[in-house]
Amino acid sequence: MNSISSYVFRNSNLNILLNWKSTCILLIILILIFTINAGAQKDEQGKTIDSKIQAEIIDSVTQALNENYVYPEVAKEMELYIRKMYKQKKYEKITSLREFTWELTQDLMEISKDKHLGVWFLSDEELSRFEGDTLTDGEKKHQLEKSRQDNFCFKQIKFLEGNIGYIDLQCFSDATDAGPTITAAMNFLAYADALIFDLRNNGGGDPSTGQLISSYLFEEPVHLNSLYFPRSDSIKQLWTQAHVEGPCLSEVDVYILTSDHTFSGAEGFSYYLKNLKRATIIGETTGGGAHWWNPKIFKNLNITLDLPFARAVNPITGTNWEGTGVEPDIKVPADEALEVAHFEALKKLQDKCKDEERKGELDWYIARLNALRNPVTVDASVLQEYVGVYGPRKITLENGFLYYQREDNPKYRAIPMGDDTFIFKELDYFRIQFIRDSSGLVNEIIGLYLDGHQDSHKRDSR
Amino acid sequence: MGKATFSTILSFKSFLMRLTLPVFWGILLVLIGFSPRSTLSQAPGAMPPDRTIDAQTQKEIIDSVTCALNEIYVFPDVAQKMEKHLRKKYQKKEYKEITSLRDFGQKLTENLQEISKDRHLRVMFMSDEMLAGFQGDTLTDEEKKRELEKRQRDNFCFKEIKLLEGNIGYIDFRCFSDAGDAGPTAVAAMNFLAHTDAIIFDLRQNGGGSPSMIQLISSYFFDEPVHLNSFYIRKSDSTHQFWTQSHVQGPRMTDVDIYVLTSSRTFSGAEEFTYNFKNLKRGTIIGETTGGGAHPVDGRIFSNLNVGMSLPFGRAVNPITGTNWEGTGVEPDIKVPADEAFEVAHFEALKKLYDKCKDEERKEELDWHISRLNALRNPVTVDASVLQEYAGVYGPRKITLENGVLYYQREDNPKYRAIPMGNDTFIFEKLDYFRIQFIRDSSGLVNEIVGLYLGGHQDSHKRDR
Repeated sequence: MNSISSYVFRNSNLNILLNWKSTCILLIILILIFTINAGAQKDEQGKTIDSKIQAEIIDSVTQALNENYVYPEVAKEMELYIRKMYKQKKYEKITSLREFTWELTQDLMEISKDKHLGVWFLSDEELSRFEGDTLTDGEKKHQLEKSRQDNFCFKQIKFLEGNIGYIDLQCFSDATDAGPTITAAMNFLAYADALIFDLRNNGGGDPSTGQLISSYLFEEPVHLNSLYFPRSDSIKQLWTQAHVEGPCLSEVDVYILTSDHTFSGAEGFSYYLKNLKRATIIGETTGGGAHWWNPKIFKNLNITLDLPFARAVNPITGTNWEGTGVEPDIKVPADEALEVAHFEALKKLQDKCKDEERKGELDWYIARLNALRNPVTVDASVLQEYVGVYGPRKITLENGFLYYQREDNPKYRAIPMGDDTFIFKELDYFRIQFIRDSSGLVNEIIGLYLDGHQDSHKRDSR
Repeated sequence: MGKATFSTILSFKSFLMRLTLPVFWGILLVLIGFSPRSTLSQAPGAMPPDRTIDAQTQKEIIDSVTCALNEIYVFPDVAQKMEKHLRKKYQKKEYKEITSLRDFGQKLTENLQEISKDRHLRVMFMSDEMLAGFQGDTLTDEEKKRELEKRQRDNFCFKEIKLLEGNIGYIDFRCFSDAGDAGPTAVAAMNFLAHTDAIIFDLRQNGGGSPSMIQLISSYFFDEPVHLNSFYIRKSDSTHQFWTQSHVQGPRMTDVDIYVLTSSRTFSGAEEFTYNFKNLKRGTIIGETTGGGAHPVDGRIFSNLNVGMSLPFGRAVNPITGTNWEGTGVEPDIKVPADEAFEVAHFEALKKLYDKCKDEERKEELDWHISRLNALRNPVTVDASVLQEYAGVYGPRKITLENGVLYYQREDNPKYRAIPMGNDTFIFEKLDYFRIQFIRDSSGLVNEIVGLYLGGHQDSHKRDR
């Protein structure tokens, strides 16, 4: 297979096309932020073209589509449509090549609905980075260096309360290069009890990264996905590998966060782990692109065509997510997905936990997260009842908020969780509870610690 | 002697506040009462376990403690002074009122530290349940297994690794776990950061731990074995040297700039790490002067008395300075409050990379991040009347002024707050690759907006009439 073939978000920016392998992040974000508005470009309107060149471009693009596009009949439909538009003089007034490619892309998508498909202007400088349809060796090296500098899209790994590992992954790189980084990430998470993969800003990439990550999640080789090549009527299967470096995480619960711009390879990963019942998907329905594409460059015309030529076929469903996206198991807005996943992960761990000590710990975090997500409203007059000095501890009410301070330590805002108990956003291991005397007056404060330890102070007499 | 540890012992006050921070482990962890199994079931308001003692028991405890000190404590003369001090107080009946062993342990710790100023030195009550986890001065095999599981579940104190703008790695860890167990996790962390150009070690909440982890991590940053530190052990009058390892798994990072973030709570082994890197001129220390504890400790248990003590048996000796940071702490190279240290380090790291960068494309990228960070840290104040000049519609882009703050929105995308960086240019906190600049016509009226992207791409729109 052509070494540049990829599986990423459809490029809508030309600079980015050249960098697709390394700057998936930028690519995705740029796509989100600005759709290129023809004629709005300050620089580079592209070459000036006339209708004869337009006809040449249409000939070249439609021929390539007819020869390679993943659905031959759709390729024909697209050709008919584009030619009709040309005849109807839809493109007549367009003299900017950049604008023309944009219009062409819109019209191709009108028929195919294929978000991987697109035609793009390439400047001479950009063309010089290609040799045929692939990047030059020098450019490949440069791209690899940029990918490294971007840590192959591995942005962050952290541990959430309750020993839940979180990975922010913003593209899928080629595991040939990214392997050691992926291995490091998985080994860093070796003792996590659950994993959350954040793919909300992930526009896809090479399947080999998903394959390597998945290999850590199954005890034995599993058939993840297949690619179907209609032109050769052949299938390429993608399996997990039998050997991984470091411990296997086959017992660990997996959650995947999605958004409506989770796309392509990132959807593939979500789709197969969902169908293998190995992961819970939380967030939004994904973008819906399941095609494998290659760039086809027409040097004399200063254009490149993103040409989808194969499609995913899931071994369980027999189909894919093209056009429909992957449906989450728990549908929530993307910016709430992490909190929900953390909560779900804690609950699931608690349900299957046999160890009493660990259960208590999980319980603590669940109650805490619950209180942070759904704060209890307490009347200011009730809050006033807590205000006072309790030995080294001081409770104050400022602008309707209760604050806790112990001696010279920082002052923390107390968040009510009901039952005279308060938590602190910054302190995950600590909460306070007030005790009332028989007449209902608050006369004591107890510090409650995650490990079960407690310390209390009587209220100073007023 | 059991496995030596080199870890935080805080004052009792802050100890209570930080009880659950994972800096105490192994023998110390249990010594100081970190035993969730025993306490989870307690009802609110229930008193922690204790033991009632009389003057005779007090004397026995003082005898045992001072005997151990005289035998082991790093400075024999200080041990003698401490003994005198305690005996004098006992004779003057200063402990007479104390009947709680828990309180007595706290009082003894205070009195011992009055003389020694040694925050690694402590005497503590141990309940029968805690004692059951020990065999002599070491944990039982079963308890060791439980402790290991707990440390694994805490990822051996490694909390977060991430990539900051400009390819700068950041790692937050809260203790130095024994490399025999935590090795694979530390290796994974180092390999995850293998392609970074600078690394920021956040030790602001790190109370120390095992020298073996200091060794393992440090080994990634030197070409060949380097002498990091020595422990002088008083009882045997011997020295134990610690060198970096000649082999590491995965690539070394010998050219990577190092920054270490410190706070006044950075203690013990975390201070050694800081002190080593500072004196080897391999890292820049940013933050607050550290806590000042340079003595490795061992646990000693008097089970019949329900007493445990953490006993400093030696001191660090740095091969370059010939001394250590006991009592003084490690002075940062750049002194800033702990909660500003992260930003400062990121900024310094970017500047240093920029200065030595030869590649033009990369230099521009670093410049972008530097000016951005600068604007975020030192926002330019722009008069509301000037801000008003920008408000308007520019094709798909809309600029609004709400409550004195400028907002940017493109079509149906989210609305972002624009932060002025001067020269009609604005950045956005959440978008690190994007900024906007307004263009004025010859009469000074704002008539165009340009979107500037990291990487050099631009797109602009004329203002709608």
